[in-house]
Amino acid sequence: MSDVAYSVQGVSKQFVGTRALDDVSVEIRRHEVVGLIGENGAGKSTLLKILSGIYQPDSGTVTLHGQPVKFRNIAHAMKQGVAMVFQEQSLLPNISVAENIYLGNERDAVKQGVFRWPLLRKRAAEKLDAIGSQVSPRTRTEQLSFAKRQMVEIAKAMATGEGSHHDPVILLDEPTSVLEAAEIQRLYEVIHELKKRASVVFVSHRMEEVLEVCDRVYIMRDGKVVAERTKDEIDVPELFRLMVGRDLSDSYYAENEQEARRDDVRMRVSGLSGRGFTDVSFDLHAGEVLTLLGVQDSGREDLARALFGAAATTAGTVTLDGKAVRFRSPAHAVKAGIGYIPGERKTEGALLGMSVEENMTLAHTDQVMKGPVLVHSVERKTVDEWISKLRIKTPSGKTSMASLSGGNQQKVVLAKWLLDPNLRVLILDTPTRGLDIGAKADVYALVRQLARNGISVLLLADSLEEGIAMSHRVITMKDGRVSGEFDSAPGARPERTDVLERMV
Amino acid sequence: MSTTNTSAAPNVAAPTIDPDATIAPPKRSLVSRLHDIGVAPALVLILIVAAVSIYDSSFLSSDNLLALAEQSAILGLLALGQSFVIMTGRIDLSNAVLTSFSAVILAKLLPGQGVLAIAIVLVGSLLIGILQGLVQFQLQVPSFIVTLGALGLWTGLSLTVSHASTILVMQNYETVSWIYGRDYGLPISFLLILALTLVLMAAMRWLRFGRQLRAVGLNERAAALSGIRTRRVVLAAFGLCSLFAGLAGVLQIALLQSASSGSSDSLQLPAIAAVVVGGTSIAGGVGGIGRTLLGVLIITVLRVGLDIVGVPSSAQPIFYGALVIAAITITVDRQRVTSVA
Repeated sequence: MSDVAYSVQGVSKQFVGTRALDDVSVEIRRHEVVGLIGENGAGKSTLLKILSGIYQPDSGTVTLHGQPVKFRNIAHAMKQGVAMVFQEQSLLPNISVAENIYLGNERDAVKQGVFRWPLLRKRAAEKLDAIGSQVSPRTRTEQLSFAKRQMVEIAKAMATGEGSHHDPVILLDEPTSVLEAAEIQRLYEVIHELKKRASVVFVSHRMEEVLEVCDRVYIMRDGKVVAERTKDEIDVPELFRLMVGRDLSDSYYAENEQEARRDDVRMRVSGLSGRGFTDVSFDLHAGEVLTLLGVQDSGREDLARALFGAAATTAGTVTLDGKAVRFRSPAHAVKAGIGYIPGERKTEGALLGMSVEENMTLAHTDQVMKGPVLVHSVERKTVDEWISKLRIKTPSGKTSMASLSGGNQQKVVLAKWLLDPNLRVLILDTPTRGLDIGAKADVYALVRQLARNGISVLLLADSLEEGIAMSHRVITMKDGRVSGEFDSAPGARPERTDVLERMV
Repeated sequence: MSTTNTSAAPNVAAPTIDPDATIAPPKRSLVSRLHDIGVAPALVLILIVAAVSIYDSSFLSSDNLLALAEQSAILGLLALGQSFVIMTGRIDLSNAVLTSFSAVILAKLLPGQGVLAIAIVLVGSLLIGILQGLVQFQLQVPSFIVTLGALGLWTGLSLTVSHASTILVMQNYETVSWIYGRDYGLPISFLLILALTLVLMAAMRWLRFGRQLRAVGLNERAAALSGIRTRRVVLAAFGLCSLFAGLAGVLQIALLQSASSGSSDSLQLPAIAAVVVGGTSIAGGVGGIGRTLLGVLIITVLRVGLDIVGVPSSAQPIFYGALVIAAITITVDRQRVTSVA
């Protein structure tokens, strides 16, 4: 018997106008963790959908345990032991964990339409134990945190292989994208366990993760597999080059462009409390990037919103350049020279139904007005300037925001604040989440540049690495309070583990 | 930033329907493109006019068309006002009833107060609109509930004030009667609506308010987080809507020289129909003022056309109801309605 559990040979898939996959061949061996990495639009998601039976390839073959297969749909693939763990989870919230794990796959746990609960729960408990999850099969699914539901989802994927002679193939679609640092660590352990009983495909666009967890990795770009490497053969710079098609310029985080912060305090927060955070104090200097790190519900998002006037404070004071301020709404904060990029780009940051131009001038429309009148020629000129300054890839300012890639949308949202000549503080809530690596690097370079120009940046980082590498100082939050503070400079960064320790 | 060898954008996400490629640029049909610039309602208008004039060749006579334009004025005011509210993603179910109520009040006050009565009615209706908006924010109740309640309120007040009978305006009628006169052979009422439409279109284009109105309708959270005072925008929309309803009440007195409770109530559905037939999205954010005027003309021609064809007026609301559903079916953005699969 060959060592290959699952493979595709020469598959292509065409969508209206684009070739999403072009002659791709991938093989997954038994008890192996295979990484699929590529930027958005590289085709990894399409490939995953073919592997999971959601899409059928236009050409090429799919082989499972040596037999050519043609999956009609995802249920068909699951019956044969190929299961997908979705990024946006597929569990039903209002039924128990045990029911979810065996949903549609109950077999003899249902007799004459009646559940045999003890059997169902016993089996579910076995699956959960196998991946070291503490969740009880009786729990109603909606009561679980995202990370725990993901464990249930993985247990469910494991259960699909039951009754087949072969170990299952489990496809993980960007499993870490909404997990916190500690949960990611836990997921790594689970994947390690999984490997003993299954073959795993791990899709990600985070380079560090793929190197951490995979035995072998396929790198995709423009619908093709551009390289295949084992874990030991490759490092981050090469991975970057293969994925993006250009060299990782001296530093991903533009660290050599970091300048010392200025002495003057831009924003002083003293004893600030509000919903989700208590007694928070810190100084934010001019030209400083201050990173806020914390797990979910650490209160950092709530704090960021309160500083922008989008949430109420109950105690404490904020001064801006020495003057006490109290923002009752974002409108007040915007007037005072504060910008805020929300974590949810598509639903809170960008107005997808408007043009690039309209998005860019939405907050500081007065910059393109003469008296009460919007001057369209000035608007066009201003917007075009920012489009070229930030290298925003868009046919024109009139283009709909919805047709831009995530990275370019985020640049437009940034430009919305940069339009303000009096911009003093920029609050960035995970500004690089979901962006391509290339686009991330652009955002990092931009943040550096803004700091050099004296703007103060409060960064709610998406990952530990990002938060540490970008910062002049790192502040950790836990349960709504400041739990640690670290100075940070190129060459003298705080240790990951030290920072993590203060977060959990 | 070193984007040197990618500056020609070869590997930026090309159009694709793969969800992986961030957001797929919507593949847009010719119909929806034409829809954007208001071609669709204009074509519909031409088609209906053609259809009716084939049935009755005298329809296209200038006398007839002028009468038609005249008839569209009250409906026009209601629809224009409603456009602002619908563009914020809300709805006002009470503005036609408010018109009836305004007319009743005006009929009561006009003989004694003259021009002052008109000012009272207009300021009053403006405040009523702002109040309706405030109630929504303060009590966190959706607009259709608040305005549905208001509908009952104005109906009851109209009945009470008018003692459920028709009030004739004998004195000071000349203060308003000129509105339904003609200048150079053109109906003043229609010219008024036309001028108002042009002013509002200009405001939408050149004032910040127009931008903000659309932003609020598209995504209220994102608008607020861009520093837009969304509450003010919504209050302004409801204020304008009610102000125009009050103005429509003035026109009603000018047209009928009388008021009774419920005299304009039947325009509620046609006014909403005019807005959506014009192509303003019921979900908010998408639409415009000019296209609402086209919608008003479509509805007006349709009313007359239905008369000509011989549909009894009692059965005509069936058509407006069907029309509203059909227009929304065509224009609704289903991506907003369906959840992510």
